[in-house]
Amino acid sequence: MTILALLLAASTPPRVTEVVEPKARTVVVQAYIPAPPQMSDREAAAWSVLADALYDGSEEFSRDRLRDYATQAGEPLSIEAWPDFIKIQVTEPEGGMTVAALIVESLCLRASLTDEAVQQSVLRLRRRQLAPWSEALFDLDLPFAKVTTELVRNVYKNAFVPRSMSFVVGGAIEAGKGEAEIVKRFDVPAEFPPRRTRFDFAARQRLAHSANVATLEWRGAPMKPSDKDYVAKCLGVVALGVGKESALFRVAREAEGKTYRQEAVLWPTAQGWAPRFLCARTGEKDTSELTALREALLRDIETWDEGTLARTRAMLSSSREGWNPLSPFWTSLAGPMRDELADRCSLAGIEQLSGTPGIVLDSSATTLAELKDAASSLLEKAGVVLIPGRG
Amino acid sequence: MVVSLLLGLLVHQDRPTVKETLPNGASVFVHNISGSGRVSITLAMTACSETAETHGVRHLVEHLLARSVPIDKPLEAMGAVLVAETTRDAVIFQTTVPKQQLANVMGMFGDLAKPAVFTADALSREREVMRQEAALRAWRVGLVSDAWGRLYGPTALDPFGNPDALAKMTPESLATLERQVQAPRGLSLAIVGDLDSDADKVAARARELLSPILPVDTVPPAEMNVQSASAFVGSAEGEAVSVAVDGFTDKVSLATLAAGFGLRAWIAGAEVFFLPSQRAGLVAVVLDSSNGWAHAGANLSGKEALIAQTGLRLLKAWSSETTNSPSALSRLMAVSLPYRPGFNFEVLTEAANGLSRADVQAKVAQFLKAGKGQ
Repeated sequence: MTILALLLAASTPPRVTEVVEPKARTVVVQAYIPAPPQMSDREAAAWSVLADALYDGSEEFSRDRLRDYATQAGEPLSIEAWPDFIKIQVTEPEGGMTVAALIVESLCLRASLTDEAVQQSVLRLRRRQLAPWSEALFDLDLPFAKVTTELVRNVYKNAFVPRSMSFVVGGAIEAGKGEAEIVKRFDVPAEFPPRRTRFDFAARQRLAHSANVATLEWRGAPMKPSDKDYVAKCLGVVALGVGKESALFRVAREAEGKTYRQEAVLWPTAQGWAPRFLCARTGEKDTSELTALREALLRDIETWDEGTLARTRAMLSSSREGWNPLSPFWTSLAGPMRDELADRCSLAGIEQLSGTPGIVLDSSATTLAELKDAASSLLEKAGVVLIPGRG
Repeated sequence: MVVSLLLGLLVHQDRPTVKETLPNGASVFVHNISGSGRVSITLAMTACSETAETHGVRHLVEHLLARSVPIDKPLEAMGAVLVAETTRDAVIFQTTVPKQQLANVMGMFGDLAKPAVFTADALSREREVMRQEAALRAWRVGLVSDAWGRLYGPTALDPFGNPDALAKMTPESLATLERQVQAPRGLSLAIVGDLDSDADKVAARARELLSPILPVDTVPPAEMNVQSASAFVGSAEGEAVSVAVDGFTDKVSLATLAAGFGLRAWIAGAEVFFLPSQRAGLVAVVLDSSNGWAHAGANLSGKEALIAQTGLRLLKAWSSETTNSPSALSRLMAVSLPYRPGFNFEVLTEAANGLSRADVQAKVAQFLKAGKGQ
């Protein structure tokens, strides 16, 4: 049985969460770097290029050396660009915490960002084409062609500052040692508060899919673990869009027959989890009937009963534990939360970004009325993002 | 008496695994991995082989069966979901549930193995669902499917199916084919995880569920002969280099997979597709940009040994994960046993540990050469 302990370090920077699992065979070190508070479209493009170009290495770790050192545990180095933060993750075998922390430190503070690496990343991201569902989830319409090496280096210099970063150290570590390791490497004067990113990724959404598939999305404001109604909102997300018994599946696909794929996603942002309800169907240009689905969903909420609440509680619990393949918690760009150390670290790290790491969700006190209110509110307040098919 | 009780206890403790073939040809595998509080169940149906006329029938039956058995509601009430998939080898149903629920859920999986009645309406509806599913397919999947065709020629039918063939099916023709899909000769139930009762008891319940199914004549699948050892396939979206493999536990196949893992770690945006099959398979490395392989070849020339070393490490971690994760292991065993009743999953780890860097390096070179020769 895995023993999971979450220890929150002192509230002064750098912010470190430890996910101690004594029986783990590996150690995971993650760094979370929020994007600068305001980004132009060019800078937002540079943000993605930066994450890609970081794979080229640092002062201490050449490209080859980085790949060699960062794969010792059999897990590849992972650097992910989310719209408003970058996550760097290094996994090392048990006992390798110092090496993992050194690699993270080196990439965070002394990245190479050579002209060649940046230009290769620009080229790759310009040409990248995703599947329609991934386009709806995370493909932004950004001017990669206008990104220069100088811009990428400037974004790096401004964003990759210890006062903004937060960290997770997890796995086979002794409590307190992970925090000490990070503090030693990322010492930050206490007078600098962490910066907050304001990034409107809906404004950068692509205008049309590359394939003949249309997607409709209702997207809500990020939910923080510290929000009073956080648990009810999480339940609302699950009841609306997770599983074949969810409202989206029953209404959008089964009753109305208007969509093929429909899911609820909790999308990580530096401000918390953004609730997103996505539907897809082959790309007729007239999508007005999709927008009428919101009314049908609101009517469906009225029919929910205690059975709905019980199912939703069970599905939320399995989603947080990582054994529900439809978990709405996206802890990596590869997909939802899994029952793995790295994903438990990511869950803590993402929640730490918005201020509260390692929260334990107890939904037993949430009532049916609270669930229905939260779900209705999520839908009513959500903005609509409609991406037509290429048609 | 005391001695026999003690011996009985020892036997009980020493039997965390049951593997057997029933008189009707169905396979059962039960294996205990304690600690998680959960159990994974996989039902695989491997008997039916498709022709051009029935291309996609297994995928269609997968959709219809998942809908005909009332399984979603009870599973979701315990926080679980049914995952259904059709591969070249099998129609697969899988779930992971809290261990206390195992007995109930086994019954539901038993229902999935029984013939169901499909109406014309249900058939028509699922065909439309599959049309939508096709539109949402990732381009990478299409590219890898093209690669199969290059490696194995026209007999390598894509498991997704052909809408034209499916359009001609009627409830009557489908009923006959459904029985072939569910034929016990290719049926397999694998249960892996934190078992509440001993493996023998769980296996006895599995026998009860599968034994009554009567044998059905099926046509053996067509041989897949390698037309080309490797293939380059490109499209506007990206490029794939694929290498044919025999299976997934032999040294050459694992060396190929390790090479794929190594290349993924070294090439930004690369993705590895490992489609092992009992009869044939492939490892594909897909790059998400055109001209990516020419670029990668130039960049990685001379680094084959380093890439191989990385790949070897990633492979060992993968094999360990596959044999220690209840869901991965139950799937592996359910799909393998109908083809190889004596299959022992430990050979996977042994084969991975027996690989040398040179084995993998040769395969890295094969990928790079195929990428250059586009």
